[in-house]
Amino acid sequence: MKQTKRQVLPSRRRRTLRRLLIAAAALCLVNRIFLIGLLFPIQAIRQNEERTGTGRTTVICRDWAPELQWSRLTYLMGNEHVTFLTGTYLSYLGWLGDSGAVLDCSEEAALHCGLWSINQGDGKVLYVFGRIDDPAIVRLKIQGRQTVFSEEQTDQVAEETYQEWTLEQEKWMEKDGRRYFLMKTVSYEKSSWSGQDFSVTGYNKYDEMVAEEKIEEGAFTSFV
Amino acid sequence: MTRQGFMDRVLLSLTRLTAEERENVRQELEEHIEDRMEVMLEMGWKPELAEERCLEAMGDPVEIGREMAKQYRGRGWLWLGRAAVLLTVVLCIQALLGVGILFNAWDSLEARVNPQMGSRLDWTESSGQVDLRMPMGNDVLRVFRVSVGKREERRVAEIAMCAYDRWPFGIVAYDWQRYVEINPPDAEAPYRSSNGRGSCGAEYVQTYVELEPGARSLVMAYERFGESQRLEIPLPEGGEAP
Repeated sequence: MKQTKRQVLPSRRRRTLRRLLIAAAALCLVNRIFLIGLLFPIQAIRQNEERTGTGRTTVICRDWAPELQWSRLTYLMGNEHVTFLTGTYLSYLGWLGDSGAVLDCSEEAALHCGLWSINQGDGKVLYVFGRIDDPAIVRLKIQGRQTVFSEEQTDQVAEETYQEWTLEQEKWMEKDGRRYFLMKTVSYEKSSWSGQDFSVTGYNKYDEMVAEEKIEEGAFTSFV
Repeated sequence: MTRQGFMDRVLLSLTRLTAEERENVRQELEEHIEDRMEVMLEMGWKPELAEERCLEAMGDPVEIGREMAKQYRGRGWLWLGRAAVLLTVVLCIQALLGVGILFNAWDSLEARVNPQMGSRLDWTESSGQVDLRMPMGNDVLRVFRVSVGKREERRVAEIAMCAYDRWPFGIVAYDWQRYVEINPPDAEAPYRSSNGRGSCGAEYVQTYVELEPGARSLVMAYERFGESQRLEIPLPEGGEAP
């Protein structure tokens, strides 16, 4: 007895192309409709742009912060009107973003600066970032206050320390003719940085103070 | 050799094939044997003898297996296909976990079609539905109701508005309210307050602006990231003071 006609199996190449097409459609759907399943960190950064309303920015530099999480990346982004420090990390939902801190640089100023403090577990990372619009500035001094809490009683202040960092222009970054800086400091103490007590001072080549900005834009993020 | 034994020896040399491909080879050989047997049976051969002769005529099963395996080349394609299936499965699981995000899309659609927010005026003098839209970065700010009435013993205008992303499944910027100001034309409002609710899909805000006697309109201004927008909001007419 003759068997029923068997179905011809498509070639491996053809089957793979069909599967790739289905995967691409699913990826597109999940990315655009559910806003998750992002395969690349920059996609999460683009989503952060949407969330903060900055519009399209370009990457100035990227920092890996394994002190917080092995996959955590911090991006300094910018365009003509915005300087934006934002982050992303890998989770079971793909790359996810957290907004960070954004500076509106559309008003004229010698210096635009902000900070972002991130706590996760025992690690604590502080970023001070900004844009230097005055070409006379060649050196920056960042000053800030850190509050260290008692090991036994976490709400009791053990000491307050004033810290100072100097950033020479060799460490700055340049993009589209604009100069940016990013300072990172890591702490494992039970401490916090006070956003109100940070300032950035710009000096010229004669070591004279050109501009001083008190940091007003900041973000404080804590992960459990 | 039996037909089953022949098949087993052919398939033994097809170790790099998937189960689906092996089944395809088996079916192809079965079909081939059946075709030959059908001819021989029509010629009057006994079934057992016809099968034996057929299998002999097919040749060495190991050699057949080797030749058939050549049709299934390209292991790279195979692994790429498997990776695509795995990615699709992971994405489906993520979509199931993130199904709640669809409520944001619903909020966004509702904001552009039928925005709703209850008035919080103590007493309403006049009220009117409007549809005034203003671009705000990637988002759109829509004023959908303007009312005049009393709140906390002040005569105020209540401006009900919502913001949504231009893309229905997009995210609305979370702190746009900080950059939107509503004032009488060429003046600063003596008193302002607001309340709101929202999600990633759409945010609703009601702003209360104290009115001077005879005020006919308000001006909404948005300034952020080098973008500057202005929108005139006419106040509804009619109504009586309490």
